[in-house]
Amino acid sequence: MTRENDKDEGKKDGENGKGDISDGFEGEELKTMTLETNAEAKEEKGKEKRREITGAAALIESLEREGVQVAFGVIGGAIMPVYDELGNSHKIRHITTAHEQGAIHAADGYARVKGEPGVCMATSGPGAANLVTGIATAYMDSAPLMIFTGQVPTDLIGRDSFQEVDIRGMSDPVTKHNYLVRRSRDLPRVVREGFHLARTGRPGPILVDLPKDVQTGSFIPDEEDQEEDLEGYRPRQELDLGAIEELAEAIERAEKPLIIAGGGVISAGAGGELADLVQDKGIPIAFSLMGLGAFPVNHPLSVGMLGMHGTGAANKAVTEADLVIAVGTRLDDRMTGDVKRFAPNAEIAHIDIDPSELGKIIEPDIPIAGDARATLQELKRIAAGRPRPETSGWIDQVKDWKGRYSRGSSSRSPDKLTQQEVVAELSRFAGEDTIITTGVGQHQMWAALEYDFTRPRTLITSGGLGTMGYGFPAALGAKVAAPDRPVICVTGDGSFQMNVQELVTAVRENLDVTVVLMRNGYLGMVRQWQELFFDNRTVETEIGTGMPSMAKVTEAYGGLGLRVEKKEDLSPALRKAASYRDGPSLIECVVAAEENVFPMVPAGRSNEEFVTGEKDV
Amino acid sequence: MSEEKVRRHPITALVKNESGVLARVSGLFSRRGFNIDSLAVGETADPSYSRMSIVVKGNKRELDQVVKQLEKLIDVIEVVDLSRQSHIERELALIKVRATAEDRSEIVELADIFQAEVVDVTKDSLTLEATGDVRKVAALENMLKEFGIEQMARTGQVVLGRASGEGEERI
Repeated sequence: MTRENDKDEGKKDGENGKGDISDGFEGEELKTMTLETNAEAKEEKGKEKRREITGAAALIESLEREGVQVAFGVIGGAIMPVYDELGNSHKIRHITTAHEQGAIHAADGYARVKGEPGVCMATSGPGAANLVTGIATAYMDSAPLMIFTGQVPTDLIGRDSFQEVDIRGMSDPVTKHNYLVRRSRDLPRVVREGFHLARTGRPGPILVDLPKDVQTGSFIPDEEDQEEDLEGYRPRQELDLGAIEELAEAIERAEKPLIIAGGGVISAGAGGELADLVQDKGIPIAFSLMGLGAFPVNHPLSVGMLGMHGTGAANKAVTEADLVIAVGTRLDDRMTGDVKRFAPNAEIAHIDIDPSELGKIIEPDIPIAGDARATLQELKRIAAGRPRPETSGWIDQVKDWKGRYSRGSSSRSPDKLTQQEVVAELSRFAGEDTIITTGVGQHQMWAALEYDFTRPRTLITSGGLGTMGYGFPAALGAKVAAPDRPVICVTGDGSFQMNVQELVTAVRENLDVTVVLMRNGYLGMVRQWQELFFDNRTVETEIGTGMPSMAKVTEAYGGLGLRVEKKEDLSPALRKAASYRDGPSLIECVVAAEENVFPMVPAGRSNEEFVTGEKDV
Repeated sequence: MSEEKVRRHPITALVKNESGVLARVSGLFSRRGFNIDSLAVGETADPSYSRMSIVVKGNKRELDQVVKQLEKLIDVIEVVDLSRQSHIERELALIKVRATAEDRSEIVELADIFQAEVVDVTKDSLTLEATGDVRKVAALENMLKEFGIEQMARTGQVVLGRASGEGEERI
């Protein structure tokens, strides 16, 4: 199976590279001897093409060719040759973070805002290992990333050398594909393939591991080095016309249809097509966490987020619906609740670009493998001539639910500032183009429930992996991707502290992001579960003791730190932070410590069994 | 429901003959909790490819996932579930069986019936090489048990669609 001579081949490159080079020179001499020397420019060009370059130089050239403008990373021993070349690049800006996890989340935030692969670099061993959480975060949410890691020289691989880890093996379960490059001359091809893989089909992270001798080894590039070798990669191109026709028929006869929009709608740029479907056919729409922003959540036909902390209206609607059209969503456990009782009355159509998602959790009646945008365009064409389904009664019912169950949860701390109020105020304050990033936990759910996301790529959050500490570095990446738009990180005190060190990056790079920090002194979501399911035994969730003033911490780093304890102080603080343009600002909101996020579908229960308060759990 | 019926599925996968491919495939099986009976790998006529023969147990839905997840791997060129088409399955087993002087001829006779070859003899053991499908190897193993099997090594099934089959295997 494994090629025994792999190692030798790798070695060959470093040493044998020289053999290749002299061969190349001989060839060139021959060529110039036989060629008429009438076209000097042409000869110059020929020489240019046959110039000997190092792997590191080839990498940077390839990145420039792919249009890379920014890379996030941390230098280290095994990736020094790459950084040495990066220093010569006028096209690529490199942003050094304090920790590799910060770099990869920043690259991820950049990618999600831009819709283009984010680039991240780190050294071997601990540098590479520190990326793993961020790679998994991107993988779960299908964010395109190109990750380059240094590796010990090929002849030291497998010997537990200093700062050696098998990052290719370690990242296998959380990358779309990965490479350990063994020959310098493979680099141009690998980079091309990698970007192609990251961008097309279902996007995802690609890791390229670069032994140091592969970076320093030189070769003479030729056309063959560029040719992609991706025989086994066939992202879905053709449309499943039969199934789309079937869906059009199902829509026509549906009385209670419901669309569920996921992150795939946003990656595919299918927001416009989705809006057409909602409006042309009069179909209410719910969202996964990743789907928020695919269509305005404050639209009359929107029922908001679905699932464990989804709205009452969304969870009612999915239970009563007779047709569910799920687009670009994994239908994961946080959305479905008890899978056996998910959408119990509905025929289910599932559109996803990754065929393995169809039937992975829910067996669809109408599986449609394909790109969300192309599929919805075709659906629109096919459905155009068909009568609109009679859904007015259903829409009235949905509106009634929306009125009955408020989107957010009521507070049980009337005299204190609450996270719900902070998010609601932020939603009123922020413009449509504002980018919101979040950490993970209660504040994230309240952001999802209370904030009016109206545009794609305005909510940047770790949905699948639920990575605390994601929000702040992702905000830095988002700001680099969209320097003219406001970027606000909504975070908890627990989440923020997991990557608080990136304040230095924000200050150094003068990135004016605003952090809205909910200080409740608890790992709040876990405390909520302890209260509801563990007889309120709050074991190890109290984190307020010893926690410094985060406003002062921000000041110490050189940013603007503000503190808010009363609701009336919030709006002025938001304005002050927004007008501060000299780097990061942070508003430390001292919020009620023991609020709970509702509605809530207790784990393993069906969506219709959502509860709206502590007493119902 | 017949969909829920757990069946044995021989799968053949054409993969790139590169380091790490076996690890990618076996890692996929273990982390997704797929139930795997055997896995055998070898080069194809074109040395840049290998063929994997994988025997998986599962219901229709689980199998559907196995095939789709395998197809997602970039190094996997093609996957065919052979359970619904005409195919050949073979396994090779080396069985070292205890053989006293008086048992020896009886064991050799048994070996003949199963068209197994004697590949090694010592004064108190015989090693047989047997080839066949799962049932044949199991039957021989069963017959030899009474003499006492000292050691056994099996390759796992190698599988291939028959030429008349509808598979589109390329190499």
